[in-house]
Amino acid sequence: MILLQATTPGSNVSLVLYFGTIGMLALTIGLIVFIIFHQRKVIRYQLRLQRMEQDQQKLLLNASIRLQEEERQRIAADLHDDAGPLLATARLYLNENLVNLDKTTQLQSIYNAKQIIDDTIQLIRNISHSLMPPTLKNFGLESAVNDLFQKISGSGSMNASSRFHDYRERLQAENELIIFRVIQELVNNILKHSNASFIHLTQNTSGEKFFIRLHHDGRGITQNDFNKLNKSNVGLGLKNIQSRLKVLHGKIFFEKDMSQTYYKVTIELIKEEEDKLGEQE
Amino acid sequence: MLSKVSFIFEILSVVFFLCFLKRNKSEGLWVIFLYCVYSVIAELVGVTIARMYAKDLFYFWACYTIAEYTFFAYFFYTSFKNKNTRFIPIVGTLIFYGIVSFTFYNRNTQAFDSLSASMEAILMIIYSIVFLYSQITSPEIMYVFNTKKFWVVVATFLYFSSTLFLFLYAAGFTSQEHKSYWIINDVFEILKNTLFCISFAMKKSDAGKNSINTYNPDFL
Repeated sequence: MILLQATTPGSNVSLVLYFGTIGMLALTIGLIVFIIFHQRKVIRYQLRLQRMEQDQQKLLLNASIRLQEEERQRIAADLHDDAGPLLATARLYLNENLVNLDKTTQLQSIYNAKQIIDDTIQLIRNISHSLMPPTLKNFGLESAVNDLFQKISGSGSMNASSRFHDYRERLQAENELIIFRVIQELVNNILKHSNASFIHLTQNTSGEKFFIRLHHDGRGITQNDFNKLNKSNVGLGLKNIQSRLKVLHGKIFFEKDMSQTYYKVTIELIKEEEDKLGEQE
Repeated sequence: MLSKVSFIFEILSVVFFLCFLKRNKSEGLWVIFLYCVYSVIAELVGVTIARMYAKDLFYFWACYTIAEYTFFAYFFYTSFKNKNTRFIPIVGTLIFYGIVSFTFYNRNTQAFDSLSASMEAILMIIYSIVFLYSQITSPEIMYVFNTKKFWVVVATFLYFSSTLFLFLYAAGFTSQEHKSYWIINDVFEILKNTLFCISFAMKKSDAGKNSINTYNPDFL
């Protein structure tokens, strides 16, 4: 700067002055234009991300609606196809009582009607239990999961075991149900698609985080497969898992074990988040 | 002629600020308004001084530069939200005042205070770049060009980068050269005040309008 000032006036001053000014101006305008275009690019990128997220949300919502409809149809079918005919038959037996005066026949038809009503009660109980497992409601997630795994093991097709390391305090009932449904869906998928010989579930906590891990030795999926299936129109159950976990602000990771032998599914929840959700509800 | 137009634009920026006072409240532009008022007053006083003591305007220009720098430095200091960048105007101000004190006691010209003015221009360019960089990296600001401060900084950036070379050589100008080269200052003074007017007239940049949800890519 001092050197420039020392330049004698008149010696190329006008040239340096004009070129310097034009150069600085060009640089400044270039920088401002760059900033504006850079901003535009960033905004477009964020907009694209937001659109993708919206599409994903839409898929999840559709999956959840479809699943709800399927569940309703299943309940309707159970009631219509099983409970309806059973009650109609019981009614027929009782009707017969009104016209038949023979005491032995009357007793037989009353007995038959009682049998049918007992079956209907059992059927309705089963429907009710499939909607809300009583073990879960009364004894919590740990008992419900143990119960579920015992039933699977009892069938003899697969060895299922679970271990809860740190579950002294129960989660909110609604959240327990969500987690249970996610576990049910995952176990269902393993039973249907993996051809595994065992499933092992572990629960533990680390700080404010709550983990549930599922191991199995069958065919499984990795996180990439999960993301792909989530974005496609197939994989209704997985989308349902995703939308359920979204309610709890939870995460799910699908990966292969370090030994590359087992598949591992990890559900991660934040306990604080869970408490807040419970309070809001 | 051009200097008169430039003076009119200086007044215009003051008028714009007052006309759109509601839009400029709590936007941190008071210091720019004060600078505009100061510029108008200095222009009027400068003409009077030039008539009375035409030969020695060194102290007048030096004082003008100090005040101008102080207004802008304060503006940038309050505009930098990041604590790490706030030290830049503080360090710059210390350097600037050091140089100004030096030129005050060691003056070697009777005309323009070239060293202080050039130093001011360089510091303003640095502050402008830092400001713009912090704006584009801030996740809170979706559209930088929708904020009033962005246009004030663009005006400052353009004005000081365009007049840097002029200020560097101004001390050695003859009155004829001063007359012919000072057009650069007048032109960019007009541009600066026009951008100030745009900034003052802009609607307040509220968070809702600045969000991604309202973004229209064809806006630009």
